[in-house]
Amino acid sequence: MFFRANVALSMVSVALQTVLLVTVWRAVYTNRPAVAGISESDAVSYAVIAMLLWHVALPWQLSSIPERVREGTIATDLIRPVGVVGQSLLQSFGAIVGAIPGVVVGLVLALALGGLTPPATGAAFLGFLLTAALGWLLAALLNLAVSMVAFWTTDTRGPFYVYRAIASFASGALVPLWFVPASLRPYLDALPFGLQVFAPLQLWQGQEPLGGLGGVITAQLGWLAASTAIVALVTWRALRKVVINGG
Amino acid sequence: MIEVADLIKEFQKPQPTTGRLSGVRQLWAPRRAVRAVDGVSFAVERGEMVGYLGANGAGKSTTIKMLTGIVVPTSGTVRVDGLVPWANRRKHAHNIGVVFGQKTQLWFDLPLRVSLETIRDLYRVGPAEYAARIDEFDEVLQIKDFLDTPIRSLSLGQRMRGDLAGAMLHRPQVLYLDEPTVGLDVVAKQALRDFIAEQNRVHATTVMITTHDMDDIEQLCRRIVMIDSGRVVYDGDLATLKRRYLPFREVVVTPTEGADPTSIRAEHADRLENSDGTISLRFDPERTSAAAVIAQATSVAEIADLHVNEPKLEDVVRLIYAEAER
Amino acid sequence: MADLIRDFRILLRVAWLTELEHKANLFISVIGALAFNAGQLLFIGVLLHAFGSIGGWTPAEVLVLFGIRMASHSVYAFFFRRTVDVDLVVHTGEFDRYLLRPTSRFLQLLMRRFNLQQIGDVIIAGAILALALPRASISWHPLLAVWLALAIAAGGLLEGGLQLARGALAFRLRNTQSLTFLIDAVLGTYGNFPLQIFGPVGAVLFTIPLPLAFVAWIPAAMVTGRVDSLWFPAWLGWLSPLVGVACMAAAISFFTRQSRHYSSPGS
Repeated sequence: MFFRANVALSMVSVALQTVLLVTVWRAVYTNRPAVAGISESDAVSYAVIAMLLWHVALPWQLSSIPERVREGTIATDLIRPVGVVGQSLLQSFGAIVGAIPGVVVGLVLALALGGLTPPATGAAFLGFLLTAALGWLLAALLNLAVSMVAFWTTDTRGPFYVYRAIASFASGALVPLWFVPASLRPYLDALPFGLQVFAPLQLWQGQEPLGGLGGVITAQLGWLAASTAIVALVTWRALRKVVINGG
Repeated sequence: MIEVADLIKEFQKPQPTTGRLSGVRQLWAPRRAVRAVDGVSFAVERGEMVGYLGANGAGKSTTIKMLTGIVVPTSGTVRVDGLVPWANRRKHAHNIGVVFGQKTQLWFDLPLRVSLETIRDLYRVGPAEYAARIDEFDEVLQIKDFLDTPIRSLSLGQRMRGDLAGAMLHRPQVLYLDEPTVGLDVVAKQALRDFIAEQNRVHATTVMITTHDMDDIEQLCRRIVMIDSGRVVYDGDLATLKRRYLPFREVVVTPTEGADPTSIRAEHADRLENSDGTISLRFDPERTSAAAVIAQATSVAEIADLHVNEPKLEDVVRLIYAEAER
Repeated sequence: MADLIRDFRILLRVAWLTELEHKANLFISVIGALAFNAGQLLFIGVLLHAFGSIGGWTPAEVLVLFGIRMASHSVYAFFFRRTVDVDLVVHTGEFDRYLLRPTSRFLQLLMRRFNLQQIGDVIIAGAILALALPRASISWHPLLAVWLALAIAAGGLLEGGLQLARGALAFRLRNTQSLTFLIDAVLGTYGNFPLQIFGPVGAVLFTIPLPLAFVAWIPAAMVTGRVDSLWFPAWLGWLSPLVGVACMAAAISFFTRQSRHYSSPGS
């Protein structure tokens, strides 16, 4: 029942945001043909799809690990064969399923408002799907790493909000990175978040991100390897801490 | 002091809804009416101590909640010292003190002292009276021992004593107690009972207590009101209750080894052989006396031990519930 | 009234002492508030940087709107946050306590906790307003400043009133969390934007059925002089704080009436 309520709420949230994004982007574009080389319809379409991608990658509820740590039930998870990390990934996958109704709502609304432009080519679309999927996996692992912080702090909301703020911005989910001041771009490109939303969307729109499709995938795989290592390390240290605490 | 007439409380139980936004859709769900209290009437005089008995779900708690103003009745009237609880809320609050066995009204994270001071201020009790009353309560409840302990760290017995002090701090006319002795050790129970009895004796506090503990009733209440399925099934004093439902006393005799148990008998007394080897002689106190029964039972046989049983309140209660069911 | 103030101070003391027990981390709360709002702020910031204006409002004017919205939200969060606890209080039976004491039920609800962790919102709001107001070429007047303060307070009362009215439904419903979320979502998603971008229909929609406009858009328009963006005569805009006050008053009365339907849990 709780799960269903969440799904309904996320659908409402996506609907609200879709209407907002289409309206705001069209409003700023009034009387302008293109800004930073991007047309209005591209910008609107980007905004909606980026928001939907983000909706799937960073669902409403973060992992339940922090709560389980606080309540002490994490101990039973450690005994289970699947393991904490496996469980988290399964949960994240479950969250995708929960996010799909929201995505559908968003797409339908955006189409109704005339806010979506189709992918540049069939190949572009496939490139988009591939990089989006890898990007999702990357996001799931990073989310997991952040929620592991629960083992060291009592307040998990603070770190999560900070992470979400940086990740949202740097991924291009909030605003296409085309519009970001040029001075900031190098810093943002150094972070993995751009690979989750901005790069896939560039492919959708038929643009060539640095190094093309191949370049993006290589970068994603590199970051995946790195984040797997981070998660493994963090998990190992966290589990040690729980055991030492007699959890 | 307390007047209750034709009190009815119906609850609308909504059919459970499931699915999307079920929390909101419940507004439109069809409802079923359940009568928790179905025409209860009684009156309590100032200074009386009344035991309010009933099985779980019989409507006790709901009645008390209407008396205290927590719940508004569907129909009927309640007047406490002339005031309608949910209509004259502020004034009525000054007239009553309530203690719940299951939940505290004190502030969980803070020392008892702070809770009592806050109650003092909310009820506008003056500092001199406050100090005097704390001293007075301390004599029986010994609350000064744990005034500086946070409520969450108190034992159940200490917490109940704290709640009782908090409830009586503003010297209310009426004290309601809802299962106050559940889970307490013997010492704590006795302290609570002594305190309540004293307040009633010295300040004529009207007391209404719901309980399953028969010792509470025996020690404190001269009057019983019993409720079952939302209706009053008995309203009268304790002695009459026992006489009416279990009009007998019992002499239980343990015969010595080797004595013939069948010789232990008495006139006007029913004889029962118990599984543990003792003999129960049941008699109607109107027809014969304990002395006569004992004399007759011991005249023939040698006995090792005997004692006299009063009707147990539990048995009485059980009988009444059984009767009400029929 | 004097009773109310006295009770407020008595309950404030307990709430404050309880808060001390929980040792809330102020620094974390500021960081948390900053991060929580950073998303919207960055979005608007980049838009302004790239496009120079939103709905015809200059960056300073848009930031004034943002600051006013944050300020009224922090008024709500600091004073009326506990309205989200009605569900909890009603279903655990804590509400029994409120009914037994000779004190306002609403006040007891609000004061069940001291919302120290909301200080972060207050500080951020103050910072944004301090930055934005001087840059927005406002013709200042002491009365205007007073009016702005009233409008911000009224915005907090409006959000508080909406949440309280929603909370009053908890006496009849099992769960009002979806509605809490809905109110938060609408106010949070659209509250930071000058509502004329939604066109005439949208602007009316966000004023009358959904009273979003009164939280920040109208006060910002009045203060910055952008009354041309409003869909009604300018002089009406000065009366907008009344809406917040009326909303709260109505909500309190609704809450008090609905509490008659309280069915305390437990046998």
